[in-house]
Amino acid sequence: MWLWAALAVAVAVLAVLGAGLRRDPRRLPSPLVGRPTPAFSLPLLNGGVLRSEALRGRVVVVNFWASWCYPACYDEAPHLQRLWDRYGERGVVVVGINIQDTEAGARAFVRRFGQTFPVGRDRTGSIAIDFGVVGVPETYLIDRQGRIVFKHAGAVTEDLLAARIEALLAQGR
Amino acid sequence: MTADTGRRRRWVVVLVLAAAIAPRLGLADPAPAAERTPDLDARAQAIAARLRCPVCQNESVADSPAELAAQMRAMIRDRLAAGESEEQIIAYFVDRYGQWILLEPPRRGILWVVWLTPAAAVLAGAALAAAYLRRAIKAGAASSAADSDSYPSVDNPQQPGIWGQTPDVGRVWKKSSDR
Repeated sequence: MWLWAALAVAVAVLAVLGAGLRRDPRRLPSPLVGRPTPAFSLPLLNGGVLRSEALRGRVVVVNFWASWCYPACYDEAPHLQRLWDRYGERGVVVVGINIQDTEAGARAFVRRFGQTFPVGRDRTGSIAIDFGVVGVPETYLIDRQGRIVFKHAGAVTEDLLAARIEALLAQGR
Repeated sequence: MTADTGRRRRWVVVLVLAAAIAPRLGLADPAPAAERTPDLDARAQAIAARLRCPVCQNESVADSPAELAAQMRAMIRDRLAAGESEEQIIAYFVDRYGQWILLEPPRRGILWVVWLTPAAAVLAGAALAAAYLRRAIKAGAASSAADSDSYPSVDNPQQPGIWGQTPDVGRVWKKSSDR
């Protein structure tokens, strides 16, 4: 009897461990979704500093990337530029934050994709860590109240973000 | 062996196991953080060792050569220098990355299961083994009372030994000796 009970417990423990093995260790829910965006000040590639306070009241797409992040960052780069072209005049800001990279690599990447939205380098990684960034690329969507409403790990597409941006723009101002 | 010494011996085993496990569970009193590591780098290293490197698989921030881990170590040093405590810094990383960032699950609530299951499994295994051995020894003693030649042998293969009945091996021997 005891033996059967012990066996049942052992099988239960193994089942739990087995279920854990089937989960993707890189799929992590961000604890920051639904919370205020960490404040940052980002030195931009073409001079000046972008402060997060200056973005208040706007819908913002924050994208963390690196020039060595191939192919995902290369895949999504044209999509981010298209979003900027499409929504920039409606007050949406796309911000590129280059992390774990060289200055030359970052500049070559921006030139290659003709990116015109603000891009800066987070040299110490403190902005990335504040955002809980796990890898590149990672993209965060911020609403007008400055809350993070969505996080995506991996390459984003125009469609993936457009629907969410439209929804945020439709929420009164 | 009287019942009393047996019980005492059992308690000794339990106490030895408890002593071996207690420090792992953090039941032993830890020294205050300031006393343990007066040096800033050593304290930063100790904090980094408790954090999972986000871009690695199962490596601590202290051990990882990844750039993000190096940046995290630099940030830990800066925060220590600014006067933050170890627990404040750990809380900051948990705030940004979730509990996932901790290499060791915190000892509270449902997470105790993770800490206690291995110890419980060891104790259960020991109890099973002890029960099995006790039964086997009792069976051996009972048969030795009935027959002085208690061990199985070529001549007497059907005698139960310490592992209970020894079946086939003895029978083969018997057959060959019959021939």
